[in-house]
Amino acid sequence: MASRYLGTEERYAVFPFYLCLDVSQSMAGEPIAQVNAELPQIRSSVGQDPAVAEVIRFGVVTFSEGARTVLPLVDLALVESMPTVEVEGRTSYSAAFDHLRRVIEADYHAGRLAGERWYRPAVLFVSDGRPTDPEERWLQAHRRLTDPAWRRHPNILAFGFGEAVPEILATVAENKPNRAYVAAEGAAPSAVVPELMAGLVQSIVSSSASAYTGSPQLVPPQLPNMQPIPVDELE
Amino acid sequence: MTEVPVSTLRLGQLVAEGGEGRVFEVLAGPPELSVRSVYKQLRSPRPLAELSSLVAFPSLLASEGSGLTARALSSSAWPVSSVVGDDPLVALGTVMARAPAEFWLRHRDGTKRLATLSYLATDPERIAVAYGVLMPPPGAAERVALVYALARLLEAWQSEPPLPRVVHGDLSGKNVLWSLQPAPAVYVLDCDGASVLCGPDAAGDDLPDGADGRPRATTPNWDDPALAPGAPPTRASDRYMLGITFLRVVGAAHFPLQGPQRSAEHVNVDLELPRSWRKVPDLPVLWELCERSLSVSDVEGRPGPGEWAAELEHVLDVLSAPALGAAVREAQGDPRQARGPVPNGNRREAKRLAPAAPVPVPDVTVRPVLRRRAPSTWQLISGPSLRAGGELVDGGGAARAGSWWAGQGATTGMPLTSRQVARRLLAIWGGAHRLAVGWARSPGRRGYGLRRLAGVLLLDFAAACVVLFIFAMLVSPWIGL
Repeated sequence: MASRYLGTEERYAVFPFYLCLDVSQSMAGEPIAQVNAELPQIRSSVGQDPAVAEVIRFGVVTFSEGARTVLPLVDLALVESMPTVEVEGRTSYSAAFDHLRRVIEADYHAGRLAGERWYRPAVLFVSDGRPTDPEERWLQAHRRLTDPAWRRHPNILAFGFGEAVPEILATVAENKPNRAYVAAEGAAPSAVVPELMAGLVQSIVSSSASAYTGSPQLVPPQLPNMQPIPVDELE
Repeated sequence: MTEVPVSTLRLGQLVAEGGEGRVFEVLAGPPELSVRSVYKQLRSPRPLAELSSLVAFPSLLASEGSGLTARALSSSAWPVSSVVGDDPLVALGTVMARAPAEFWLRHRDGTKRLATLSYLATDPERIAVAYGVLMPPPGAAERVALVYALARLLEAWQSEPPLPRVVHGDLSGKNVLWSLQPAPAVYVLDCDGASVLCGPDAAGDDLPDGADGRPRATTPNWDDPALAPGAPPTRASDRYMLGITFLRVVGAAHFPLQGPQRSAEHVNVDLELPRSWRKVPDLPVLWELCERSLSVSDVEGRPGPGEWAAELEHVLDVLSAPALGAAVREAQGDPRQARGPVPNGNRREAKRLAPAAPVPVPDVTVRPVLRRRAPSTWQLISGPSLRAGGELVDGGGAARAGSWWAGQGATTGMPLTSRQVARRLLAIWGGAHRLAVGWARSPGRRGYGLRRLAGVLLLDFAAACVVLFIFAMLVSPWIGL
């Protein structure tokens, strides 16, 4: 019979979530204000619950012409306040994907040094428009991010509203079922964004529960005003 | 009262939402209902008979005497009424008492949250840094007293036939609340999902332990690894959860057992205890109780809550905290002791003389390890901000929360604010003053007392001069004097 020692220091592996937010010009006004109003809700729902916060690590990355880390990957229980995001320029998906790959790699090594064990990270990709950079360029960046040969490649959940194109979101979510969602036609961003953020929280909280079992699952959110984009499962 | 028509309830705000239903505050209802009640609206209505047996449980228990009923009612949100709609045979939900005020915690930022066991099953220093809530240290007698309170509740639930018995099935970190004021106490939620077994079935000796309970969703990480997925929880499952609660609450750590246990691995648990336990005599019965409770290979041999209660009373005695045990019993409205304390020497002797029984191969070993805990590494992260150019300025690190020296919001590698400089100067002066006072009060010849006092006054005078100098040189020009 195999044997294992468990001590006080034995912790559960952490489940990293990266919120990748589109902050292009089209988000100006109510959508970005809603995002800023809802970000503290994520902190209070995830960070204030000791059981959830302990296994979830959360970071925020924004992208427009370039991409940047607005909130480094952290334990939300230990964050005093959430950052605010601001509207910038165009919509470069390639900048987002390249930045995510760099950040995930760096965070993974930093986490290992701190003694953390990681589950496969999840990226919550939120966009309200189509990419403004050439298709081939962002597709290449996407392939680098999702390259199965790269051991840290994340699972991606994609959400769109406004001018977002369902087919593009499905591609971002690697054409996997229940991974890409788009708002119902005509839905106002002011209604969609709070619902979307609440769905993300619910997805994170449910995923955290599965992390304790040792076989975590990225639980898709339940979004009443958003429909899963039907995609075929790849063979 | 056992049944309440839903039309008679006036509901307030949504209190909680879970997989099985939604919980609302009850603003008004039939006069028999308690003022502080909540209504749990089930997602899937259940046959009324199922919930009626739950509601009737305390009165069935009362036949034994009022003690067990008091324990069951004081320590759990037990359903007091079924709620019915148009169909009188179908229950839409239940009404139960709201968690009393002492089972809520207030975080540093003012957020109020239920005091779940999750707070106790993790590093107390992390909880202090993150939420500003102070937990008793690992191994503290208060932690033992909380497990004792839970064991006594389970004792009432797992009475021997012909009394009815209860299988809760999900005694988890989120379903068990705790409080230390005014006395150590627990309060178990989600009791409407429990099963009550009474009548001839419960009395049958040949009833397999796996036959009780009804299927219910369990909390990952607190569930019984011996239970097949989807199988109804049993009395033995509740006993497993009591064992794991002891480890996690007293050890203030997770001990992720279930994964290795499901893979049929032998698990050796090193329960780290503070060095204050070095004065505590060896407690072989306690560690054996842990091992038997957590066993997957010998589910039937898991000890009952009565054994736990008796042993924990003994542990509280050897930790010089018998008053905590008495406070638990008093708070539960049943001051009887489960068993008189037995001297440790006799217990060892009794164990040695016990007839040799076939010993199953143990699959869990629990070993106490006395160790001084490493200093905390948890730090609060200041909110990141964006520079004018848009570049990220990392929070920089990090304030040592609650550090009087650094002050709130201090960051490493950043210039100190005037407030922080003042705080540090004050700290230096305070330290020097205390040192001088200690020196002045130390034993010595009587004639030296006045001289020493003069020394302290001189030091304070010098400090006042420095402050005045700083004020004259730096602050006065700045404010235009």
